[in-house]
Order: sequence, then structure tokens, then C-alpha cells
Amino acid sequence: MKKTKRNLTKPKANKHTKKKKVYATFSSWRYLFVSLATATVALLLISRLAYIQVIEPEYLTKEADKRSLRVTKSVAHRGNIEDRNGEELAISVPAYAIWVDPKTVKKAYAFTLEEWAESVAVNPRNGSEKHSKQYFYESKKWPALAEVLDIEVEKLASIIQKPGSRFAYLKRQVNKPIVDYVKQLKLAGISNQLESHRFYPTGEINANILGLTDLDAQGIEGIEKSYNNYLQGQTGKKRVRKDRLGNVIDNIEVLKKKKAAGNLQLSIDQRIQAVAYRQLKRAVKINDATSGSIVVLDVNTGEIYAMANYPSFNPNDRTQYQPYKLRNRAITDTFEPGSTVKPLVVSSALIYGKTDVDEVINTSPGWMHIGGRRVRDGKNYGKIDLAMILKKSSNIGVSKLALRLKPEQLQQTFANFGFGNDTGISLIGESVGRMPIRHRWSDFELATMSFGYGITTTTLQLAKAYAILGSGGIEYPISILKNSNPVAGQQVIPRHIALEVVEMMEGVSQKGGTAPKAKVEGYRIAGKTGTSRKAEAGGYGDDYVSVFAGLAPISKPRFAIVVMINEPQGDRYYAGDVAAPVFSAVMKSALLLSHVRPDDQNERYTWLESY
Amino acid sequence: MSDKRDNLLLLILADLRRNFFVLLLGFAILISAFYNIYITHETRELITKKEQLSQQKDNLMIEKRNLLIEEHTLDEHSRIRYIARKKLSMSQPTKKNSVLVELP
Repeated sequence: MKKTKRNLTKPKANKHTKKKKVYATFSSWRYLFVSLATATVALLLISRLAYIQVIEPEYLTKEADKRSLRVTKSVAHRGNIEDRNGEELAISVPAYAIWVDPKTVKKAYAFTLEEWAESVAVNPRNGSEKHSKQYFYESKKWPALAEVLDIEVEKLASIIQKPGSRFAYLKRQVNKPIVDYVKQLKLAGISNQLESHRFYPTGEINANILGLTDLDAQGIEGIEKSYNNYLQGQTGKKRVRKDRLGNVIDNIEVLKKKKAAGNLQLSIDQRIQAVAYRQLKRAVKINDATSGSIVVLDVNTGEIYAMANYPSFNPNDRTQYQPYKLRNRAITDTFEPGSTVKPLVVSSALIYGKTDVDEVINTSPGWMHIGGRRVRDGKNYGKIDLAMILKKSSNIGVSKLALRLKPEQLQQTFANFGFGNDTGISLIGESVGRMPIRHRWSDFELATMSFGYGITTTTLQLAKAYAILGSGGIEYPISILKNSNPVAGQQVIPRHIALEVVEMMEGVSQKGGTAPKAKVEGYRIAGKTGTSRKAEAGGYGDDYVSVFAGLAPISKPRFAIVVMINEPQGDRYYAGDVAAPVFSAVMKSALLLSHVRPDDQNERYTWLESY
Repeated sequence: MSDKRDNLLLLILADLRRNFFVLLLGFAILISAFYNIYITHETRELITKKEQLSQQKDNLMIEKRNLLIEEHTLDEHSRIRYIARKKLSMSQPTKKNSVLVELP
């Protein structure tokens, strides 16, 4: 017990002593040293941290940004051009340009054997020789590149050997598979760059009106140029953070906002346009003419349903590119409209009350002298009414009407029909024609103006004039863009006069008229031929312009079409033989495709009446 | 200094209990910090995914454009007309073999 008791107390005492010992051995300098050391280290760490984080954070931030911040591009492709039914006429697809940095190539390849021999470097350890450059002509990759890009190896070598050069295009507008192949070749100094390729599925049919873009996707002709700003998108640029694998992990800021390109919808109906171009091309070739144009207008809205020219070219093949083929002749080229203005003269005489619809004019004996000059008809038509004047295209008849008018009155009517003024189409290169403004007119000049000499118009202007007749005297601004909402027209000719003149023009395509070939089966058509001699230096030459302008159907006009064939060769140069068949074929297609109801009562149709 | 040896653990626990609120706040900070990391990670993954999807969309648009070109090269009107005429011996109906139907 005692022992235990002692034992019990002893440890207690021991403990006590031990404790005392601990306290006794506590040395303040040691404690101080450790705490100071710890504090110093901590302070150092904290101050370093503060230095990095607070005082000088830019350096590391910059280094981090260098490794992770990237600028990415988002390419906006040029907008499509569509026809009125949404069919694409011009589409942009991505293409690539292959380019070379000659300096990099020269670093890796030797072009002469001497240079190749010089590039030998001897390994000092084992004495083996090694070329630091490859011999250019020994490599199999360069001929492969040359072949896929369709360049000769010698030319490729000469491009690369050009001194001091750092950049040269090898080929532009190549497609993806070729780029992938070139990438796999892994040639030093060869890179690619994204660009855009413009493709025109309809080829030469629309080439004149659509125009072209250059290799940098800028419109340089036609609609591509006129509406360049609208069609062109803006490539967006963004600053992003990328991770190790190249994935975008953070969008930092938008440097340049991406602007999606607008799609343009034209008023062209590609089905009619295709027919128009094909018929025009055929007519130009058959008649051995130099050129031709055709315009199809919707009388009630002023929209252009078709506008074709020949010669044209395939815009997808730039080797065919020749400026004269590119011209949109329907709006740029003017000609003297000849007899096609006769209905306008008749309108003028009716407007100013110088004649009435039933008047009969004596054209005997088929010729007359005006101011000492002679005006004549093909033959003596005798006493004929206004419709017959148009049907037979009598120069005497219209001259007599014109002489009753003051020159200003006739000119005013021509101006009301849009001559000498722009049509409102707002395409570049549009010509306004010529309407001479003078104070004094001789009677002879007035007479010649009444059958279309001395003034010039474009095909489109003439079509517009006929459209005004067809719409009952209402002028609509001509538009190549599809009008989503109807445009308000302007009454420029009294309605009843316009409609009367349209009725008068029916005879032209009937038996005995100047253009029976203009007939369209099932429909009543109004039209007028015009065959004018071309003016050249010193007078009128032996070349002709054959024009046919017309409207259909008469009971409720829908389309105005003007066909112009320039310089037809051979015996048959009259518009009734050259231009009228084109009019007939195109008008027929246009009416059928637009579901216009046949209005010719003489034609027998099977009617299925609905009950 | 009492004779009784204090249990350190209990002492610490007691201390913690006394400052429970501060402790709670500390935990809250920790959790929110971790959550922040997690959310950042999630966001980055989503951005990557979005970027991939818009890339995919661009590729599809390009393919669509290429297909459009192919379609329009094949359905060009002159070509169809030629095939209809020459290969299928078709012709445009004339008034004799057409029926005009008037809809009410």
C-alpha cells in the first residue's frame, strides 16, 4: 500500500519536476529565433505574392495572355442573288489561296548542286556528313505540288527563286480537297488562306445583268457592283482565350462585329430569262447579227422579268472574260428606235386633239415632199385609218400626224413615255438615250422624228414606253429587284388613249401586217416593228437595227417585251422576220409560265367549267 | 495554470464553438471558392461546346451552299429543256392538246 502510495505520489512529484524542467529549459532566444525565421519566411512569401499580384501583375498577365489569347475570324460570305422564285443565281463558297514564302523555302531547299554541296555539315563526333538543305529538284514533293496546282515545276522554281520575296500567290480559288492534299505534303514555306469563290449556276444567261466580282470578292460589274455594299458582309473578329488543345474557353471581346451579308432577290423570273436568252442567241446566230438585247417587263409593276443580251460569256470561266461581252446592252447601248415610236406619235396626236380614233388619212401617192426632202412608204396604201397606219407602218401617215403637232408637243409626249430620262433601274452604266432639245425644228426633222430617227433610246427605255401604254398610261419606276409591296405609279398618259393605241396595234401581227410572225397562239397581241438604218459618220449606212416591241394580252396587258437585233446580215433584215419570232416565242413562254388567261376568242379551247 | 491537464482537442473544439459563426463564414468562403472554380470550368466547357457547334453550323452552311450550286447546275432550265426534248422526246403542249380549266 505504502509502496503504491509512494508510487502514486512519486510520479506526481516527478511530473512536477519534469514540468519545472521544461520551463526551466525554455530559452527565449531559441523561441525568438524560430518565430523570427518563420515570420521572415512568411513575410517573404507574402511580399513576393503581393509583388506579383498587386505591384507588378502586368508582366505575368502579359505572359499568360501571350500563351492563351488569340484573335479568331469569322468569315461572312457574300450574299446570294436569287430570282423572284428564290432560285439562286449567284452563290459564294469558301475557296483557298495557296501562297509561298520563298525565303523559308530557300532555307530548306537548295536550287543548284553547288549550293547543295555547300550545305554539307560534318558531324564532329562520328564524322558522318549530312546536308542541311535538300536538293530542290530531287524532292518528289515539289513536282506533286506543281501538278496538283497545275503549274510547271520550272515556273514554280522561278517564283521561289525570286530574290528578296516573302510572299507570292501560287494559285487562287482552289477548293478544299486540293488544300488538304497540299497540307499533307508538308512543304516548308507553303501556306493557304481562306477566301471566297463566287459561283454562277446559270452561267452566261445572266452574266450581263449580274456582272462579276473580282478575286477579292468585290463587285466590279452589273448588280454585283451596284449593290456591292448590300451583298458584302463584314468579317467578324473576336478576341478569345484558348486552352492547351486549342479549344475556345472564353470570349474576351468582339473586335469587329460580324455583319451577315444580305441576300438580294431580283425580279427576274429565271424560267422566262432562260427562254429569252436562248431565243435571242438563236436569232442573233441565224441572222448573223453582231449583238442583241431583249427585255421583258411586267406592265403593272415595272418589274423586269427578263433582261438578256448577246454576246454574253460564262462568268465561271474567267479566261473568256472580255469587256465587250460583259456589257448589259439592254441598258447601255442606244439605237434609233425607228418605226416602234409610231404608236407613241399616234398617242401624242390623240392627246393634243389633232386627230380622233376613227380618222382616215390619205397617204396617196405613197410619197410626199416635206421641206424639199422626200418621205415615202413601201407602196401606196391609199386612204387608211390610224390602226392601218400602224399595221402597215406608213411613214406618210405618221408624218402627217406629226406635222399637225408642235415639235414641243411631240417631244413632251416622248418625254412622258420616258425617253431621254433614266428608267429608275439604278444600275451602273445606264444610258438615257438622246432627245435633242432645240428651239427650231424643220418640218422634215419633225417628220423623221415621228418615225424614230434623230432620237435614241435603250432597249429598256423602249420597253418602258410600251409598258406605259399597256398599263393604261401609268408610269412605274423600272425595278430589277422584286417589289414586295406594290409601287404607286404615276399617270402620264390619259388612260383611254393608251388603251385605244394598244387596240390599234393588234393589226401588226395579223395577216397583212408587218409582223405576222409575232403571233402568239391563244392570245391577242399588240406590237410594232422597227427597222432602222444605223447612223454612221457622214450619214446612214447599210447596217440595220431590227426592233420589235409589243404587249400581250390586249384585253388586260401583262407583259411588254422589246427585242432588239443589231446589224442582222443577209436578205431578211426586216424586224418582222428577225425580231418578231423571238418576241413570239418569249411572250408565249412568259404568258404560259405566268398563268395568264388566253384572251383570243377565235382560238377554241376546251373549257372545264366548275360548278 | 491549473494542475488539471486540459485536453487540447476539447479546448480547440470549445474555441471553435465559441467562434462558430466565424467558422461558418470561413466554410462558406471555401465552398463558394470551390463552386467558383467548378462554375468557371463548366462555363469554359460550355463555351467550347458552343464554339464547336457554331463551327459545325458554318461547315453545314458551306455544305449547303455547295449542294445548292450542284442543284442549280443540274436544274438549269436550258439543260432540262434539252433533256426533255432530246432524251425524253417531250414537247410543249399546243392549244390542240391542252385544256383550259377555270378555277372558281
